[in-house]
Amino acid sequence: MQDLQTIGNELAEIFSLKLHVEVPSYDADLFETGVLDSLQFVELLFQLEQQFGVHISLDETDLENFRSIERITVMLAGQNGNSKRI
Amino acid sequence: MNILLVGEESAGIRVLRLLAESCHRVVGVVASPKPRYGSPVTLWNTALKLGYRTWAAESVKDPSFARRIRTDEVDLLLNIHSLHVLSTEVLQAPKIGCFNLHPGPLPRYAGLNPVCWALYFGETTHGVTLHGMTAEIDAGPIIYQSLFPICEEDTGFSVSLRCIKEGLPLVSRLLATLAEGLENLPKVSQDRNHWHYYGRGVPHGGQVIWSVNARQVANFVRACNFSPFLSPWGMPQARAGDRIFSIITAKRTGSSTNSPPGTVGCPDSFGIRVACADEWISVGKIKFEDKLADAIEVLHAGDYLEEHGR
Repeated sequence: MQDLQTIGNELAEIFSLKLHVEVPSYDADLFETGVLDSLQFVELLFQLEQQFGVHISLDETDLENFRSIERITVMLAGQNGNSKRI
Repeated sequence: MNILLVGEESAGIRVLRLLAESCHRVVGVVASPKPRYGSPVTLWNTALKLGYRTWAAESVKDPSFARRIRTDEVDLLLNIHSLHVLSTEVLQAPKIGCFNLHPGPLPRYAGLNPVCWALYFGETTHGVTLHGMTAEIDAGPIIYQSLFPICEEDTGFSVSLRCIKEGLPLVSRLLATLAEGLENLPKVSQDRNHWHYYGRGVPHGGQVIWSVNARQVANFVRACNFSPFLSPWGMPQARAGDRIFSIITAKRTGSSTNSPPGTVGCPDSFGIRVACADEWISVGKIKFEDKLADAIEVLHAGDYLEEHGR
C-alpha cells in the first residue's frame, strides 16, 4: 500500500492535471472554497476509480470523506489493500 | 457505427469516455462551450482533449445542422442530459435514429428535474430510461429502463449520481444490440395515461410550507438537497421574523404536535424541532447569511416560522 504522502501527491496531480483546479493546501476545504463542483466531483470519482482501482459507492460512504485532499487520502489509505470497495 | 453525441454535465462526459473506448466512431460532440457553473470540467473541454470535433449546443435547433449529420453519415445521435430541443430535420437525419437518456422512470416524470420531482412526491423507486426521440419531448418509445429503490436518506444529489451510474450500462446495451441488428431493438410505446411532463418551476416558489404534513416538508427539503453542490431547485427558503435562511437537511421525528405549524420547539439530537401540520420535523443544517450553520444556532424555542406571502 502506498504511503499517505504518495497518495496525497497523486491526488494533487489529479486535481491539477485532470480537474484543472489548484488546491491551496492538502487540508483546504474543497467544498467551502468552491474548488469542487458537482461535475468535478463526479469526475473525481471516475479518476479515483481509474487511478487507485477502487470502487466508490456513495450509498456507503460519507461526502465528508471528500472534503479535503487530506481526508480523501486517509479514506484511500484506509483501504489497506484488503478491499477495493469504498 | 458513426455516433454524434449531444450532451452536457457529468453524464455526457461519462458517455463520451464510454464511446471513446468502444469500437465505434465518434463523429463529434455537441455541447455548451461555456460551463454552466463555471467549472473547467465540461463535456466540451473533454471532447477537445480527446481530439473530437465540437459544435455549440444550439446547433441541434438549427435545421441546417441536419446536412452536417448526413454528410458525416451519422448512424446514431445520442442525447445525454442536453436541454436543447432538436429540430425535426435533425431528428430525422441520423440513419438509425436519435436516442435520449432520461434520468426518470418514463412514462412518469418526463421533463425537467425528474429526480427532484420524484423525491418531492415521496417516491420509493426511481429510474433512468433510454428512449427513442420523437418530436414530443421525452415521449418516444422506451428502449431500456433501469429502476432502483430510493430510501429516506436519499437526496437529490445521491439519486442524480445513481441515475448516471444506472444509465451508462443502458447506453452500452443499446450499442451492443444495434451492432447485432436494428431488428433486435425493443421499442415499447409509452403509456400516455401515466405520462406526465414537469417543467422548470419549483414547488411553492421554493418556500417551505409548514402547514402541510412533515413527510411533505422532509421530501421537499431532500429533493432540493444537492449539498455541498448547487441545487437545480435552489435551497428551500424559510423565515423567522427578519431572519431568512435556507434549509439543507430536515428529518421527520414521528412525534405528533398540536402546535401551530411553523412553531419552533425544542432541540433534539438532529437539530431543532419545527411544527408541521401533523408532527414535529427536526431541522439540522441551514444556510444563514451565506454561511453553513446548525439550525440550533439561529433558531430558538418559541420562534415562529412564517410562510412567505401568508
